[in-house]
This record gives sequence, structure tokens and C-alpha cells, in this order.
Amino acid sequence: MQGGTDGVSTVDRRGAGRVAVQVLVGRDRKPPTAPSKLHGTATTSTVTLGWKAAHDNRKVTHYEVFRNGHLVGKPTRTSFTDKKLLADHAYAYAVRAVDKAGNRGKKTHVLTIRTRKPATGPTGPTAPTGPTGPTGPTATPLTTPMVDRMFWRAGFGPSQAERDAWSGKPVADLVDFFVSHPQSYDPTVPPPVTQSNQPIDPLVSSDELVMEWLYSMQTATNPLTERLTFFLHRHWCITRLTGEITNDLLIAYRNRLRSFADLAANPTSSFKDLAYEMTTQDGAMSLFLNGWQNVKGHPNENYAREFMELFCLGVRDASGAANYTQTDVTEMARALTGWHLDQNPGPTFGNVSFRSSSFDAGSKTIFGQAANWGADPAQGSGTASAIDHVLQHHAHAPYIVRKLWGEFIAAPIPDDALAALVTAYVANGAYQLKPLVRGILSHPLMFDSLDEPNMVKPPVVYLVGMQRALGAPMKWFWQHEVLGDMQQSPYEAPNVAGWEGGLSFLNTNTADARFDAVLRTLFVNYDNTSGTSAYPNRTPLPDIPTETAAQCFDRAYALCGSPWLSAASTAQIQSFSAAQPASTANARLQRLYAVMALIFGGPDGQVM
Amino acid sequence: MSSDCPQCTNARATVTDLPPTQHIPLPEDVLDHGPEAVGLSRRSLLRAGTLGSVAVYGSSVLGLDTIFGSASAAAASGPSTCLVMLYLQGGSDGLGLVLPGSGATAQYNAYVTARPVLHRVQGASDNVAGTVGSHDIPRTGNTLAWSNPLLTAAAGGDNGGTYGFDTLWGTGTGDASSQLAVLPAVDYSPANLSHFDSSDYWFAGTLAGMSTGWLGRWIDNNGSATNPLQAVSIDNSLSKAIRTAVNPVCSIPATSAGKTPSLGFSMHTSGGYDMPHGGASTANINAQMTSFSQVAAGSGNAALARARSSYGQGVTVASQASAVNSLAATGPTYPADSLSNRLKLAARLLAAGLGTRVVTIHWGSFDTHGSQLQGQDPQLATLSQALGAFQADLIARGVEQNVVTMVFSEFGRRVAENDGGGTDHGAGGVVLMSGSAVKGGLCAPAASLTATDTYGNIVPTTDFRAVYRSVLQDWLGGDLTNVIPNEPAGGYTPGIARYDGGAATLFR
Repeated sequence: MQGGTDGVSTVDRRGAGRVAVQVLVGRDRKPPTAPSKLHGTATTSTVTLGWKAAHDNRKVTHYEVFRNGHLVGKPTRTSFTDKKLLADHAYAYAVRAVDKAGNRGKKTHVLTIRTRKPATGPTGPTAPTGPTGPTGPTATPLTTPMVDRMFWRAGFGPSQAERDAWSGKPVADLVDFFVSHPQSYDPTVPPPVTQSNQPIDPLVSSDELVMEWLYSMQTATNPLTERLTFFLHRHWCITRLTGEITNDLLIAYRNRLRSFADLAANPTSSFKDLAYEMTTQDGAMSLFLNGWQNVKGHPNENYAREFMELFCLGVRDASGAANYTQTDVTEMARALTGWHLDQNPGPTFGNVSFRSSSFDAGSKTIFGQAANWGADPAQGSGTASAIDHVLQHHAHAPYIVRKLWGEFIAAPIPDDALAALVTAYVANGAYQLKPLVRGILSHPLMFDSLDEPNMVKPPVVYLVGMQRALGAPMKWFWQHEVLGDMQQSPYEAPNVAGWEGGLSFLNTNTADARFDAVLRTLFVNYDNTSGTSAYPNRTPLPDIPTETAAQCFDRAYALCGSPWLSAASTAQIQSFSAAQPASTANARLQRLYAVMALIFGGPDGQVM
Repeated sequence: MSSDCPQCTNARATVTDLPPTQHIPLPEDVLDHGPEAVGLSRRSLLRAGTLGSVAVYGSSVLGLDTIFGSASAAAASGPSTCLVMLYLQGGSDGLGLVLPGSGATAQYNAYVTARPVLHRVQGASDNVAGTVGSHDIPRTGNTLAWSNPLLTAAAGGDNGGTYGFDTLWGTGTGDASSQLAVLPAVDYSPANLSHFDSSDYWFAGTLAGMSTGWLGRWIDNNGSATNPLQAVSIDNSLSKAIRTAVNPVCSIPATSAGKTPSLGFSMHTSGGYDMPHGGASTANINAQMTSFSQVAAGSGNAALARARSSYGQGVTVASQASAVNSLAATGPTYPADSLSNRLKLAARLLAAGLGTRVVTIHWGSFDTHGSQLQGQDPQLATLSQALGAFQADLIARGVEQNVVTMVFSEFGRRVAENDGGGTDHGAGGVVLMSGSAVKGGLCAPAASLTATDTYGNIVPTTDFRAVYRSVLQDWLGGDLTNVIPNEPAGGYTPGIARYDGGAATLFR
């Protein structure tokens, strides 16, 4: 639900249904319908509201706008600006229609809006720079649901500030922000702490290793960089579950992926360069797929096979033809020999370097072509690049384009989009990621099914999304465990093929884990009983003795960051709220937490 | 993959990309007394307490009446033979189960040389080194010995249970007391040492890459089009071994012994992070989740549909499973382990007369690249005790003559130990066949530890498809067309060879 809109239509229809049977005789007794799709934007001192017109059997003459229950305006049009407000304050608005006979319709659902903070300290995204698409679909102004969609697919969900900043701007501007905005990390979010409230050390435990990355995701001002890093992790997948890769090598591997995912800092970021680095530089990958054991006379096919099967080509092309043969794999393994891994304890541990003595310099035949193939002829490994040779295979570009598309967009890729993206990707033999990512994010299918989101949130995105929405601390060690329960923990893919993803993330066991994740997040964010001097208590939610069930829902919904929620679920949670006891402060707080948990952690919270 | 990857084998060995076509409840009364006990109406089935939720895999959605009607009809046609396939995940070291005995001096010495740290001493144990010992296996000419974790206390071992492999072994002569067959080195050649490929081969019954399993094809040839309970994976998803092309099969989560995989939804977390300020709401979150799940998603929105159905099924499974506090006790003491929970459920299923012909269980974490003794021995002790208890359970239920259990792993391990107190991937693991109908004893030669291949792996003495052939032909029966594809005339070799005289058969 966006800005409290869909909930209205439910109430709306019910109200309309009751009066439809009345017989209209004499004086008009029929009130107008409720306005719908109430939405708004805020500055530091004003709130501008808009809504969809109400209907009446005669004529709607004007609307009445309420702020915190008090009438503040009687506009005749479907918009209104409320002025002279305090900065950084939340205000609750509702609107109703009035007809000529004075009949007043039902109020809209309450919309809570917070005015902006004064312009000091960190603010929302800065104004984008760079070229914007002057024509075509990317010139379309963003609606709030479109902003939400972009921030979920390319990030971890929107903040209200991001909604405010981007609504009404062209799609191309936001895409440009994602691919061009320099990365920085918000220092105001509390840093992660251990079980004993000490700063974490990711080299010490797998729990802290996971928290270290999650914290980057939580605080990234350009979330695409972290999302794309995680995509590259899914793709060039390694897992620490084999027990042989040390945490420092895992972090070095992640940082390598991040340098390729940071399209602002590395605008010419190339899949080809990444393929070279993974093959000839990365210690974690060398350990994981036995590259270090692949030496002249004793080839190990593990990396060569996955290089073709998983990293570059796929088993079959679109026509169903095999992309390579077993001979290609064994010959590729020979071509990739010679890359020594330093496993001596010390500062050079994990370094990969070329040793000509263990390189097989004979002729190899790959895809029917014989040459002295090697991983990197510039370093003396052969006289022709086997990596370039694989990337030039006709199956490579479509394979990568399809996989990256599927990371962002639920609908299958249309043929024309595939062709255009392949062309952009292979242009000048550069295999650049930026034009590819820009092209996918700009495609109109990004906004498919806006009324009802149609991709499953990957567990990492789901958890980080909640942490970002609440500003919740990355506290104690449960994140790793709960991510495992949800079946996606960083560095712990089930196998080298990565996570199957999509629908497979949701089953009866993970549904339970996803709800559990909400409860834990709420707990660490609002608990005020276990603070220490090193890590102070959080601010608990205040009890509001006069809060009604409807107001409880509105507060909870705003606290959750006003996420998408279907009209049906909105109505159900409002009914749930109304059914809870509220006679004591504890009961009211329990109601509030339960409503928040249902908004965040129910089935509607699982899609983006 | 070069190292310990239990989750890999786990993930790959089950079919994760095959969604169930439906879920049905499994009533307790049906298990205990057969379908007739509760009648076959949908209402009465649902009224009975349910044991768990059955995920059905197949081409069409079946009515409960149809399913239990088929099950009942299958049961009425008389007892049928059943196979329990127990897969030890990760490549279990065969020399950790069965090793050279005191009658094979040269082999034993080679074993000690190859495994200075990991070897087992002859006799009960070496108190000085703290090494678990071994115990000669009767009727093998003392050329083979059990490793001690497999033994019960009565045999001088240390696993402490009443039942174990030595109990099942009996005299080891193929007589009525001999209910455990040992095949010490079973595999295919040349072994490719990959978890993924090797387990795929074992499940498919071929090296030729088929999407159906060998037992799945047998179900397609001989099974019912309407009874998914004919082949059951006791797991959260389906074993590749029973993946079919046509007929329905199912998976049942290991919800037995009162332990449920899903607790449903409440405002209490499993980790004790309850809500601050007055604690957790006591509101009925389960009812709310069910209510959410009943709203249809837009057409074509598979993601939201899946989210809602997962939450709804989460509640259903939890409520069904919570009806089970413990399985009906039949006497034997199982060791406390998930394997026991699954075998208990298997015994109950097989006794219930539901037409179940195949049960699969994937269990354990045997990829012991390091610290092998600590990793493997406790699991071996559990395996030995649990299979002994399972046999006693089947006897108590009167169905022991119908059930055979086959134990295997995707490969054995390297003869020589590595520097980490473990062993790397090798070839030729131990296959065990257990049951009253099994003509127990040594049923294939041990592999030589001195004449290894170029990588230091044993040369398997038995092809796994020869074992499958025996199970199919002499135990399950029926139409075996293409169950083992491209089988050469006379079967794959080397085949089964008994060392207690008599024909090369594993069954009575």
C-alpha cells in the first residue's frame, strides 16, 4: 500500500455498497463516496496533499481536509497545501467530500506524513547529475509506486526522503542516480555490536563476517552498488561452508566484486576484467574451485568447468545446443594451469601469481580452435587468451544479459530488449556492466504489475530492507542465524551454482523464519532494557493512551515506512487491530508491535 | 568441490526445482490402522488427528478419497516388498566401517601405513592412544573387521545399544540369523570424485544423465497413477532417486517424535527475543496468517501467490504436526537422532498398509576432509543402533519380512589420510543391505589396499548397478524395462559374489 491509498478503496466500496439500495426521493440524502489514493509530499514546513476525486449522485462541491482531526482547509480541487508546519514532525491527514446538499462522505484512510528535517546533516539523495533521457519512456515522471519499485529492485526499499526526492522526476534521472551517484555510507546508523556490545571483528567469526556486509548494505547511500555486489556474489559464487577459505580472503573477494559493482567509481567496469581477476588473482576462488591445484600434468577441471557452465556460458544456448564439450573442459583446464596460490601464513597469504613452470604451454583445442591458450598471455600464460575466447562464444552475452535481467525484473526479457542489451554489452569488446545495468533499470517492464509487486524479496534484501526502514541497529549475532533459517546467508550459498532464488525462497519453513526476522528486528530496535554504556538503550515506542485501533494501524504503518500492502491485507490488519485489547499501556504496545509485525512480516511484505 | 560440503550434497541430492502439485494431510489413524479404520470419506479423514502434511509430486491433482482408496486397494492385494533407501550424504569412508581384519596382515599393515593417525587398532580399543578399535567379522576368515562404533556392548564394542550391525550380522553364514549383507567396495569406474556427479549417478542409476531416478522409473513401470504414498521421501523435498516421469510420489517432512519443522506463527521468537515493554502479544497470529493466505493474488503473480500460500501452509503444517506428540512405541530403543525419527516414521508407514513400496532417507554429514574420527564415528554408532532398532520395530509390527534397507554413500574416500586428520574423495564405498529377507553375510570381495589406482583410490569390486539389478530382480520385481538403462547383457560387472557358498543372491 502506497501512502495509505489501497486501504481506502476497500472502505470505499463497503460504504458505497450500503447506500446503493436506498431509493432517491425528494431531497438528496446520498453522501459522496470517499476520495481515494490520498498521497502527499512534504518540505520542512509544508505538506502538499493530493487525492482522487470522490463521486456523488449530484455534485461534489468541495472537500474537507483534516490535520490530526482538525479541519484545516476546504479546497474545491483535489489538492491542498498545508503550511506553517514544524520541521521533522509527523502529521496525520484525512479528507472527505461534501456535496451540494451538505451530505458529507466517508473520510479517507489516514495518511501520516513527516515534514523534512532542516537542511543540516545527512539528507536524502542529492540532485542527480549527468545526462537525462529527454524522450521515450524514461522521460516519464516517477510516481511514488514507481519510486518504491526502483528502490526495492535496485536497492533495499525506499525511505520517505527518497520518495519525496524522486516522485515526479523522470525515470532516467533515478536510473542515473543508481549508476552514477558516488557511494558513501551513512555514519549516523549505529555500528554493529557483538553479543557483549563490543565492536565487531569480521575476521573473528562468521556471525561478524555477515554483519560486516549487512551493515554496508544498511548504510549505503547508493544501494545499487551493494545489490550489484551481492548479484556478483550469487554469480561468481563461493561458499565458506567448505571450511577452507579464511575470512580475510572472503572479504578480499567481496571487495573485488564491489569494485566492479561500483559503477560510479568504476564507470568502465567490465565483466571481462572481472573474469580475468577471478581466474588469475582471487585467492578465495582459487581455493574454492581448486585453481591452485590445477597444474601442468595434473589438471583439475573444477574451475574450468564452472567457468563455462556457471560463470560465462551455461550448458546450452537458446536453441538447446550444447555450448561446450567435455574436451573443451579438459583443454580449458590445461589452458588455466600455472596460477600459484601462496598459502604460507603471512602478509602474502592468498596471493595468486603466475608460475611458468606449472603452466601447460602445449597446444590446446577449445571450441575446435587450436592454439597455445592461456588465461592471460600478457603475463606469459600462453599466446592466446582462453578467457577472451570463451567470452566471444555466441552464448556468453545472452547468458549474462538474461541472468542480470532476472535479478531486477520479473517478466521474461523481450527479444528486442535482449538484442539491444547484448549489443550494448559487447560493444567494442568491452563487456561493460554500466550500459547493461542502465538499460535494464530503464526498461518499462521494471514497472510491470505496480499494483501488486511480483518478485520475491531475497532474504538478504528483506532483512536489510527492514533494518533500513527502522534504522534498526545491527546488534548481536542473530542476523546470521535468521538468514540461514531463511535460506540465504552471505558467503554460504548451498553450492557453487549459488541460490536458486525466486519462488524457491518461500516455503513453510522459511515463512516462519521470515516472521521471526521481524520480531527480532523489532526487539533490538525498541528494547530499552539491555543497554550498556558502550551501547545505549534504544528509544522505546511511547504509549498513547487515547490511541484508537485505527490510529494504531496508522502509526504502525508509518513506522514501517508505509510499504506496499494490499487493500485486502490492510483491511484485515485494521480488523486485527480493532480486535486487540487496549485497556492498559502494555496491551496497547503489544497491539502496536503485533500490527507492525503483520505489516512487515506477513505475506504481502515478502514481495517487491 | 574439494572439501567439506554437506550442504552441497544435501541441496543437490534433493529436487528443489520441482514444486509439489498438492499437499494432503496424513491422518494418524490411517497410519496405525489402515485406511479402512477411518473410512474413506474426506470428512472422516480430516477429522482424524493428522501426523503431518504430505507433499505430492505428480502430474495431476488427486482427491483424498482417490489417494486413500488406492492405498487401501494396494494394501488389500496383499503384502508387497518394500525398499528403504538410506543415503549417507557426503561420501562416507568405507574403511571407517569395515577394515582389514587380523587374518589379512599385509592389508592391515598397508592400512596402518596409509593412515598413521586414523587407523583403528585391532581389538576393542587402544587406551593409550585413545583410538577406537576393531573387531574381526566372523565368517570372513578374519580378513575383515567391524570398526568399533558399529558394535553393541554385548560384542565388546562401545556404542552401548542393544541392537547394532553385529546383532543383524548373526552368524554371517546366510542362515536365518544373518540379516545383514556387506558389500565392501561398490561404485562405478572410473570414479570422478565429484559429489554432484556421483550422487546424481547413484540416484539416476546411470551415468547418462537422466532426470528421473532409478526407483522413480520402477514406480512409473509398476506403480499406481493415483497413490503418491507408493514412494515417500522422508524429507522436506523429494529425493532424485524417486523422481518419476508419470506416477505421483511424495515427500513427508520428518515431523515425527513430536518434533515439528515449523512452529507456526506467534509473537514469541524462537530465539527468545520477545517483544519489549510488556512482552509479546498473545494474539492469534496463526489465524491472521491463514486469513492473509486466503486472498487470491492477481493472475500471473506467482511471487505473491507463493508468499500467501507458504504462510497458509506454514500454519497448516504446524497445526497438523502439533497433533503428534510421540509415535506409538513398539519397544525398541532408537538412539536420539533425526535418523531415528525418520526410521520410526518409515516403520509406521510401512506397517500401515498404504501401498508404500519405496522410502528414501538422506542423512548425515560424511564429507570428512578433516577430523574424521570425531566426525564419522558418532554417526556410525547412530547408524548401527538405529538400523538395529528399526529391524526390531518392524518385527514388532509384523512387517519385517516385507522390508529391506539399503545403505550407501556416493563414494568412499582416499585410502591415505590427509594432513588434516581426514580423507579426501575416493572411490568404492560400503553398501549394506539389511532385513529379515536379506541373505546376510559377505556378498562381495573387499578391495585391495595395496593395488590402488594412480590417485591412491581403491578399485571397486562391485558395480553399483549390479546391486540395483539384484534389488530389482530378486526383491522388488515387476517390469524392469529401462530401470537400469543400457544395461549390458548379463548386467554390469563386477557383480555380486557370495563368500559363504551358494548362488550370487542377496535375498532369501
